[in-house]
Amino acid sequence: MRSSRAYRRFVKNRAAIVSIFFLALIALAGLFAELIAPYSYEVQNIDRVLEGPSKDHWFGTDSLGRDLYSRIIFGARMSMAVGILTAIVSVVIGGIYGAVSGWLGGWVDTLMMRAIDILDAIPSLVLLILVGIVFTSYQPFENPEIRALTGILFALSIVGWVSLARLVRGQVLQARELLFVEGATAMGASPARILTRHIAPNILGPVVVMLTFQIPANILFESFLSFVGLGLQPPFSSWGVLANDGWRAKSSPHLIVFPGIALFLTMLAFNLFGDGLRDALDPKT
Amino acid sequence: MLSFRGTADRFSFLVSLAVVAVVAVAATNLGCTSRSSSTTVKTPDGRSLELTKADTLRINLGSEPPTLDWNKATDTTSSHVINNIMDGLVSYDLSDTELALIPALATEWKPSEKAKVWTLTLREDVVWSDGVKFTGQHVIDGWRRLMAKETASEYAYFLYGIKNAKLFSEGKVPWEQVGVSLTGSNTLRVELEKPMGYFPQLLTHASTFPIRLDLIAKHGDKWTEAGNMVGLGAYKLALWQHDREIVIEANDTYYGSKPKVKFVHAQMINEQATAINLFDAGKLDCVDGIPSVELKTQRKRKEYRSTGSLQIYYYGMNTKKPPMDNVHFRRAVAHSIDRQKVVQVLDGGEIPLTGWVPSGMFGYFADVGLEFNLEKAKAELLKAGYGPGKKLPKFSLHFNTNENHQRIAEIVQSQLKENLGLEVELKNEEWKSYLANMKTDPPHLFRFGWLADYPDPDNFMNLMTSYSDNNRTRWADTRYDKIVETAAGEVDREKRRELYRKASQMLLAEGTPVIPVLTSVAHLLVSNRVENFPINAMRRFEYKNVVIKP
Repeated sequence: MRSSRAYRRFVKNRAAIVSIFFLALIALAGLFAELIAPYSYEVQNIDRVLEGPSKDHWFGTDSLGRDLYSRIIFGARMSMAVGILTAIVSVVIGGIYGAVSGWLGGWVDTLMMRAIDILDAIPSLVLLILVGIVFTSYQPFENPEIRALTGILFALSIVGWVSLARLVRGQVLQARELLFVEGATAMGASPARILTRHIAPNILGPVVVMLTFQIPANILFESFLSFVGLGLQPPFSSWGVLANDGWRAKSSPHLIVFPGIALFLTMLAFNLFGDGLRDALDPKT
Repeated sequence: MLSFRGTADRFSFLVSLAVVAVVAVAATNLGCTSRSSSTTVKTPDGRSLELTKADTLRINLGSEPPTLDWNKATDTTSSHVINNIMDGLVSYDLSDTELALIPALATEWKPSEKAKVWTLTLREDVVWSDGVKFTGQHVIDGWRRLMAKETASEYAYFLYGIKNAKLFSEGKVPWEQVGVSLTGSNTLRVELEKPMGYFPQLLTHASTFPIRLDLIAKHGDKWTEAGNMVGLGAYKLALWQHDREIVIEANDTYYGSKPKVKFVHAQMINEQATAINLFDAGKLDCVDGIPSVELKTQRKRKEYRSTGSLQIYYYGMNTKKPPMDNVHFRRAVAHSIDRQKVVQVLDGGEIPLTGWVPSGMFGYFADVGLEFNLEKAKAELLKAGYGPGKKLPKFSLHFNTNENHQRIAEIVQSQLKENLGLEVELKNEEWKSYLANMKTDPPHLFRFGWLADYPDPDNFMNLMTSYSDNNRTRWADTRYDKIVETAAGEVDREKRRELYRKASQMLLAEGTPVIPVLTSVAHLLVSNRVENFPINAMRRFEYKNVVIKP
């Protein structure tokens, strides 16, 4: 079986295994933040603002005396959710759209690509502000974190999948011409089977690489969204919010260093995980 | 004047990206947008100006000025530019800490009938920057336009002290009955409703500056664009690239001593931290407003300057929007804000304020208004109908995007939650749209500042009258209006003080549409190459005396 071979190849890749454990750890920490974090993400202690790392506060405190370590753990919840969910949304929408466009070709392809061009031509800021207005006037959820998450997902699913769709279309166009695909077509395989069994494994590499870049970018993008009223609003925490607050306080470097390290390690883990996945799934190896 | 300090940002996302990129190396010295030491700009009239470093004062406005029409401008960003391209009849001596009045377009102002009638002598040797001779009619045109209903200026009430001015503004009497007239070619006679010793101070304010109706007729709303606009100031507007930059250049036709620095280049950088980076890189000569988290480090620098300022920081409430329509609820909110903690966090010398007039000014009271008091807060909440088991209302707190405003808002948000269990949502907006929304639909709870237009308590008390369009709370009390009007005309200082005490109490403790938080302090960075930089309690940035060292 191919899949088990892929699995064996994947587990042999030590970096990828470490990465997936790390990502799982971060995700679990975020999920059970209430149990793990030593302090609340919102309780201020204004007698101890902007303190560096200490025994009481491992990562120091922020400009309102909140424990940075706890805020990073609580922030992991939002950041991982945004990173993973937006990736799924991008892959599903962009992947299907690109595959259909590339596979069918002809005027359908032209039409679908022009639609993307139009969407791309609208500045994303304008689009996001529009989404922001809609979402702030229609708020289906009470919980502010869920509300922010749905807003972010909605915003990113509008602007985020486009580049992925282009990539997938290009890859499908290329793969369609490969001999074994022609062979499968000649043997009467259905388009769905050809796409999933023959083409998908061949284009997975570039897609995974793109995703590993997109996930951290989306995590940061979330902090930007709060400016158009879509993202998290204070006092809730996410890594994007922490990084955004932190870079301003030049004289308190711990505020950017710790969220930065968290982001950096996560980004690295996603990259290594993606690498491993690509190597394992590549049919040529 | 509505005060805004520092501001909004849209590109912080990109900056954050950059930060994460460099965090592995160090958290300092972020890359910033660069501008070479000499910049060439093209003006709308086709000239190209070379802004060399030696000839140019480079400042940051922080945001796009909402308008440069001085009859309509209400905020500090707009007046920052206006006060350089226009002169009033009277001016302040900015080198004097008492801010003594000095002649400007008027050489003399004389009271008669116990300060009820003022006679102003205007200069006759003044021309506008397009060569047209300045006359008293321009002054009258400006005042008439300011008060006319169709102008809809938020400062219309500014000259209501003039006889029949308010009635004219309401459309009840024709202009001819307003107490302003030209007697002789260069003498202006102003008759007031009541004696008013501080009347000349009003004439330092941009809303009372002379205006050229012929230009407004010609260009309509576009009269404030570079190329169309003319002025009487030491500088003239050379370029206004909206949301980007403003360049003003020395005005050759200026009647006073010519400015020493040829150009002032004003950028509109939203992020205070970015402005500081540019300052460090030598691309800006002044930073107005330092993020409070940076104060500790920045105040050690020799470029650091600060001054107490006649400016209050307050939260207003829309008294027509539930739950803020309930006075008990408003009082509960006011009682549960611990100003001492706000001041402690900011750590910049700000002074907690429960009254309505800033400390350091006549009419300041330490003991009026609603102090931080948890028991009273809870009692008022109960009176407002939120007893045990009753679900507390949710509302939102708005502020214009700025690091310091956000920090204060988060403290208040946390105090309201901790003290009363109120869930408050924070919302921020860029300055121009923030002001626009404030006009059409003021939110539940909103941040504002008020900077003295003239150093008299009337300027603060007047702000909350029912006919002041700068009062965004929709609270109106004619008894309050009456006391403030009486106080404005009261010559006995002690009696006047008592009237203000009464009015303050009525405003803050009875009606409570506003919650004063603190008296502000201005924190600036000024480059060592700049001399005579104007730093004063009224934050009037007039650059004509600035010298740049070679």
